[in-house]
Amino acid sequence: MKLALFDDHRPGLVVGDRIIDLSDTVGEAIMAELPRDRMPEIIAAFDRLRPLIDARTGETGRPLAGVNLRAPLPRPRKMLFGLGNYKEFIELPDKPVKPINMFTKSSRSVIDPAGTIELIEHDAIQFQHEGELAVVIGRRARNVSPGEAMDHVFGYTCVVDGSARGFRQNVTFINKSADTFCPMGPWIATADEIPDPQATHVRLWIDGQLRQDYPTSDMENPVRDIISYASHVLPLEPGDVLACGVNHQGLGPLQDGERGAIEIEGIGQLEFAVSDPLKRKWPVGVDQKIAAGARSYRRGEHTPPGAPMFEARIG
Amino acid sequence: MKLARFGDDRIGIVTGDGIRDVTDLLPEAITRLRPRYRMNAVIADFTVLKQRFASAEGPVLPLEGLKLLPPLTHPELTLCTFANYRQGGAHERAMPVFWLKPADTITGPGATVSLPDMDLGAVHHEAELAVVIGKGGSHIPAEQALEHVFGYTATIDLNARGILDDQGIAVNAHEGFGALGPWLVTADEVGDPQALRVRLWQGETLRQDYSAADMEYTVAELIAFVSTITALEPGDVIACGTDHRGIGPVQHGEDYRIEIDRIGSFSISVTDPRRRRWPSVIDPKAETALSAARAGGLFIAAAAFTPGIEEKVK
Repeated sequence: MKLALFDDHRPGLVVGDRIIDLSDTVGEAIMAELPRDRMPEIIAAFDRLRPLIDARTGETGRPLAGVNLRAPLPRPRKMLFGLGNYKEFIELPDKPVKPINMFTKSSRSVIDPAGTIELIEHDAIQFQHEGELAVVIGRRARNVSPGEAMDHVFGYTCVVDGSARGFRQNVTFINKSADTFCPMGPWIATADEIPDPQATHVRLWIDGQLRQDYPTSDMENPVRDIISYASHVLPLEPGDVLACGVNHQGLGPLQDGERGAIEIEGIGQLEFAVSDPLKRKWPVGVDQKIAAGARSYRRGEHTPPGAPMFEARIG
Repeated sequence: MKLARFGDDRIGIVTGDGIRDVTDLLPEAITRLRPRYRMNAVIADFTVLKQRFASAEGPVLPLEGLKLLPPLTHPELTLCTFANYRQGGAHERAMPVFWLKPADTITGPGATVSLPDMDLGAVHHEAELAVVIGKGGSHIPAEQALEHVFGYTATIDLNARGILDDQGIAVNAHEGFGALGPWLVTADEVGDPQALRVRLWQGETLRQDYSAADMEYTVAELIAFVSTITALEPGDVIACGTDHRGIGPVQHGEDYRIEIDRIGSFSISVTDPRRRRWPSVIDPKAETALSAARAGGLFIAAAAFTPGIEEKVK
């Protein structure tokens, strides 16, 4: 089942290229919530709502193309994003798993499908796209084991972790949390649509050029371990978003006027645009410097001091 | 005016040694909101509500015996400024660095914070002045930034050291790691935020004692900078960073009290399921670690701090 928010943040069931308005099905109490709380409340009441929503699957609805999709979680109560967490296509059977680490991304950075990432004027070395699989929490989780973790998954969605590179640190507020730096959607695919989150595939294009193209089997700490870990730090609530990290082979610059799309098998495709008030220019394409740096890091090799980690601006 | 949350999610005005409950004066548009949004809504509508609160009558409940709650339960945005005090010596002023703290970390006066059941070097207290935004905006000029301030509160910001490269949720996002209180004090009562003195005691021992005049970036400059990255909203919180020269470990069975001039004072206590022990003193390596971080080291490295003395729970 694919659940969306659309137009004035009303809930919808996506079936093929049509969408069925679920406002009446979820009921007045949920529709009276702030837009940001509607999907979390639907998720929290899902055991009760699911059969009612299922019963509407056969309806005609209306064409998806005729509605404005919204981010399914316009302002999650929290968003925890993985750092790295992919093997960069390099299998090292003898290397111990690097424990998951996660940072907090501002919920205010979320934008709707087809929205525009607006680059900030700060002098980043580069602004990059990190297309990622994101988990939506279904049931409160606190100190759950990896074995229990998957019972707390509601579903999955696509996110682009917009990232400003080259400041003092890597995952602080300015690096990750500028307004508009998190395209999310196009909807949530419930967990049954993706029975094994380690067997799906993430792709991201910029202006039609395929950049990121990686299977989630390359993930170092799988979804169950990510949920377990986060739940040992703080309670996870329905509608919280946990992104799984990124494989760095395929990252590249975001720049003015570009149009991008992320697609994850089992979920769907989310489009976004980019604007830059300063019209800065970088080489178009995959950033081979960060790709090589991430491979070296994975192998435990030291990058020579002073070596540039990212492609620099050309204008 | 001092605005507190107390009891069963009530909102009140602090007067002398008591609180006057003004919850029933709130408009229905605010009371029908989920509790986590109410104080933010009060802040957003404060120019209207202020008069109503000021002319409120009704009994003043003695502070003693009231349970104070964190004045903001669910800030939309809580930012902690990293290393924002000059601490003497010469260094180049670098761009300010902010860490986001999820709202799940927020706790209030009198809270008991349980240390994470994880391997770590130590958990440090950082007493900080926190500014609460009243009027939202983006690209706010520093010269106008104080007009966007609703008021101030005190925070005991806890951070774990020596864990996962000193960044991420294991460092700053555990439940209870963001104690706010004892209430919000409106900007007009505080005056110049840079003139405030911040102190923190462990038990009866003074550990942190510094002046906000020593901030690298002033409150106004912090607001201006943050507003170039996100559009600020009423109720957003920016903790202004700490002077590291007095920070030290928090541990099982100890109490910590913060006090800021013209704001007030509150305490938290700490429990630890692992009953770890650290020397109960200011961390002697804190200043060195900060210098290393300023010199371009990635983070305050694990090895820079005094390690814990592990004691197994019997």
